[in-house]
Amino acid sequence: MFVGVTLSLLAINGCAPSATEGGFSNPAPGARIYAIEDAVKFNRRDQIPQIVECLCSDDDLLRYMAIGALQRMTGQDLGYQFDDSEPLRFAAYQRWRQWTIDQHLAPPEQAYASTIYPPARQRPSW
Amino acid sequence: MNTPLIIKSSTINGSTVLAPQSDIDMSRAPTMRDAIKSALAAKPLRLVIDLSVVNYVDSSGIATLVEALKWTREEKVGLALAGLSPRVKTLMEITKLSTMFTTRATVEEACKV
Amino acid sequence: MEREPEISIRIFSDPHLLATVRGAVDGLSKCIGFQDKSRALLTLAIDEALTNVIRHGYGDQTHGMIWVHMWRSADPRGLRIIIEDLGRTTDPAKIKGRELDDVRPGGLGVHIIKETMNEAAWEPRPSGGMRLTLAKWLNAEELAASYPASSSPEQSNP
Repeated sequence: MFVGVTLSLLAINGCAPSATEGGFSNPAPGARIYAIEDAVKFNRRDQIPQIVECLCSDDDLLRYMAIGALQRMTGQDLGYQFDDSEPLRFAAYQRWRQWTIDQHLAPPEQAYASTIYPPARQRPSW
Repeated sequence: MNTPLIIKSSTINGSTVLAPQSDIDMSRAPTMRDAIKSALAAKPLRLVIDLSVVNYVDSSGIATLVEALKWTREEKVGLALAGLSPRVKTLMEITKLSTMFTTRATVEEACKV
Repeated sequence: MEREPEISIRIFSDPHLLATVRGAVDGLSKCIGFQDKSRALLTLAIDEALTNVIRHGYGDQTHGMIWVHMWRSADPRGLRIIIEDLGRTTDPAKIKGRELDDVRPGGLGVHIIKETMNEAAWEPRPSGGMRLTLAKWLNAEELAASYPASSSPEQSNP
């Protein structure tokens, strides 16, 4: 699968506007995309779990950037395609969560607090 | 040897139309990027990128289009691509971006989206 | 001894010159029988490979040399390309790691090269720089379309 975005242009050339600050703690897709760009640029592997959480987003651009970043940082996609149906995406997301546990990037109980999406799965706006 | 990217700009019904006049590759993507940023600074209703004269877009060009998508969503401005050549359509399909962009055959149609 | 390439191009590491190589790749691949999607993929992959040389091999300097040699392959039928440069030498095992400097999420860069080409191998050149050897074969549909109806593949091999 080809996910073709040059994050270098996105990360190096622009400063994040205030509306998109806050990194992964900001539920807005724009903020998370900037956070993903920074994570890839500085190889912040400790933020891979947060990037994995973005695979569940309702926002297609955020999902696209997230899987692209994971491919870049890990060399694999575990079968996740950002434009697959939700059940397929969720199954691949589960594989990614297990991978973060196996790689000791996430706690084994899989209970790392998801600040990203509360159970109601409300859709954050840009 | 410098062959700068010429970008024609126009306004149709509140939409800003940017029409790059050659391929968007590594050498020309920064110019396209700056043009998009400038266009959005004027807060148009919609941004239309007319690709009817563009026969090739490399990864830098694709990244620029994705960046346009990101910025227009942040600014709540519509974005549409118009006049994609068969080769550019193929490139968009290869990179799976065809599902994320609104595309139309002509600028006029894109300005109505 | 390997025969001479059908096309050899030497360019400076100037991004403005990439269109010239794209044109040659597209033209030769069309002659060989690649169809539009394959040609688009080939062009993108070669473009990415050259972009990597410019960015990582020469650090965006435009005075470096890049050689692109292209051969028609008869068996299997397709296209062979060798890209050579005199830029920074990289451990081929670290080619994937080098991508992190160029923060594109997968698909483009090295990924598209590996996904598009049937063969892709990086190696340091004995005299300095890097050599990238690529090969792409016609798929079944392109093979079938490239042979005249009255002849067999064996009779039609160039």
